[in-house]
Amino acid sequence: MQRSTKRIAAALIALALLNTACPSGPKSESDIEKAENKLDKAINGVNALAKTARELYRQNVINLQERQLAGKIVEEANDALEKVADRVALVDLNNPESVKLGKADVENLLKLAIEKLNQFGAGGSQLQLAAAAIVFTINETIALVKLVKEVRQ
Amino acid sequence: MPDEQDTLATIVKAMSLLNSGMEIVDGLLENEMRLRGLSREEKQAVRKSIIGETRTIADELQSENP
Repeated sequence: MQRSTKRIAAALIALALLNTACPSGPKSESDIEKAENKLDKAINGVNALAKTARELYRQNVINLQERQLAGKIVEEANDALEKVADRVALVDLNNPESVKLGKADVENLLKLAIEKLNQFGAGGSQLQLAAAAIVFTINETIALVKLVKEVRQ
Repeated sequence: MPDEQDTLATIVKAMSLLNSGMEIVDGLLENEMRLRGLSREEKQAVRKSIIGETRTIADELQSENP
């Protein structure tokens, strides 16, 4: 039972992380728009991670200490992302220099925010175990989808 | 019998977690949709709103209360 719940927990976290990592938007978008899209993915991803941690605690997958650790990490990542959002708001799209500087700042700030998120893999908690199972879960899900398609055909 | 009970408990737990997972993914998609087709100013307001919601949850996660 423990292994199953950990793998499902891993799937939930994987979904949130995939959302953060996946590129999106039209190819014609400007550099600053690309950076803004990354920011939006990250903001949404952290929001989902917070909800995931809350749910994992409600369902006894993680303990109080692990929930508090997750809360701390979410708080730090969220604060970092707020700084990025504040910086994006200052960019003047009609001023090429402002766009150039804004893009560089936003990307650097995003890197810092993602470093905070990477702490999810630290601390030896069940969250770490869940994170370690992510790749396996994704591969297994892909295999399952293929199987379902084959059966339907 | 204990094995069957354990399997049943696992299925129930899995269903419950998957249901929660679906709700979380729905929330993700909803937030993505909220940001689509908005002006820059409107997007900034939505970002602030999502960041505020995350902060509230982060505070809740860090509290001592179960």
